[in-house]
Amino acid sequence: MRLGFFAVLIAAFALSGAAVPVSAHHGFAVEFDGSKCMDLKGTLTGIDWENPHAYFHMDVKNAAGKVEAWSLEMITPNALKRNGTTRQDFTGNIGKPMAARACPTKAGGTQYRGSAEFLELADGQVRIVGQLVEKITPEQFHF
Amino acid sequence: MTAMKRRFCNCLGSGGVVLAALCMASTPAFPQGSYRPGPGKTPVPVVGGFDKIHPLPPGGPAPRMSDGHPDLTGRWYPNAAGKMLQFAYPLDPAAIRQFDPKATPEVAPSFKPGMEAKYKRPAPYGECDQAGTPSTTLEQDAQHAPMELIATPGRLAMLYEYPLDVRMVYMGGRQHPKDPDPTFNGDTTARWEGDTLVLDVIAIDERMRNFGGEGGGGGWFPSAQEHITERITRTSKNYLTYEITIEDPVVLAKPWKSAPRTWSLAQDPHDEWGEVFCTLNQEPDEYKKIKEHDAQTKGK
Repeated sequence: MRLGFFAVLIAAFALSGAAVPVSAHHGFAVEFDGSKCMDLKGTLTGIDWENPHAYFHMDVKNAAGKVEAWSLEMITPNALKRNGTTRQDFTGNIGKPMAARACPTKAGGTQYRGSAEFLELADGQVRIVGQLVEKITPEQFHF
Repeated sequence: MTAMKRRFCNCLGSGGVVLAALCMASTPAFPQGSYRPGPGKTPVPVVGGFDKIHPLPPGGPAPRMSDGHPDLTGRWYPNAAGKMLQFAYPLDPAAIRQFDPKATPEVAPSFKPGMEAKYKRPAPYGECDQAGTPSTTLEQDAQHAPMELIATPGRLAMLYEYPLDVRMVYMGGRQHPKDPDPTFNGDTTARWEGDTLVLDVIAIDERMRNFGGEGGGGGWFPSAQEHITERITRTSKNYLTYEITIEDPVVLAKPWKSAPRTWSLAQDPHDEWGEVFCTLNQEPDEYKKIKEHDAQTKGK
């Protein structure tokens, strides 16, 4: 009973955005802001298929019409591959439209950099590419 | 509320007691990295075909080596599905978990007076170095990367994709040396108890934090007197059970014991060893400078 109450307190504490690492090689919340995740729509411009993280790059036109060059972190290529997403899925869609749900760096961090949760390339398939830190599911992902 | 609690349960010790209590108290609504759609919502197809994944059948008896002991050889995934399920959605919870916390719960470790404050430290930003024994095996609960075992009567090679690690276990009655040098993986001896391989580990480098996902209560640092016992049993062709006891007379009030954790045999015949290096690797940035220089000086 006491523990249950304590757990509710902790959950509230966690919801407030306190830093809680969930990745075993660096803490998401140390670098990224899970409360400011957003939809990004633009053009896929590149892919770095690297360890420990793969990165993709996209050009996004902001509200003022200026093009922002974003760099977004994904999970390791091994996990992407075994989950059905290959390097060729990216290279084959460079220069084409795409959309991603991503969480940007915290205030003071590198601009136009973030951690992607899931994305849709020009082939129209939804791919999970990172930690799903938000409480939303792909059907709530709007283009 | 339950879902949010569970998402933060693969915690690595930051926040100490607070997170330990959270991990203990949460009952997973769904595992790390997977969702179920809300009521009335149609699941959107997600690349990966994960809705078709369920626990493997036992697959027959465990094969045996020439000496009659079970052959532990195989590519093993820390779940019941025989494939990597990190960030997979949607997913049968029975397929992704290593143990049922209702049936075989893991409780937080109990510390000697004053030891929790001393030996629990916040998780630093980068933890890309080796995790050592036992964290390399225990943390797969969150990582879902495979462990490959190559067994002969004289030797067991334990290979981990993430973090990249090799443990070489020598069979045939090898004893601990008198004063072994500390290493990240520790000094291991091995013996069979029936069909269970029992590994005895001492002399683990004290800088190796113990952590291992749910139930581990967050990470803590060992003393030089830590003593680990690992029990590995291949219960059938498709399944391996791994159970560990951590004793530390300096830090722990009583031994911490894991649940029997399930590992399942890789099913895809084309599932090969994959390279996963986790380092603070700044070489790619240096390499890029060469390319940038080429681009800038092109045609000059």
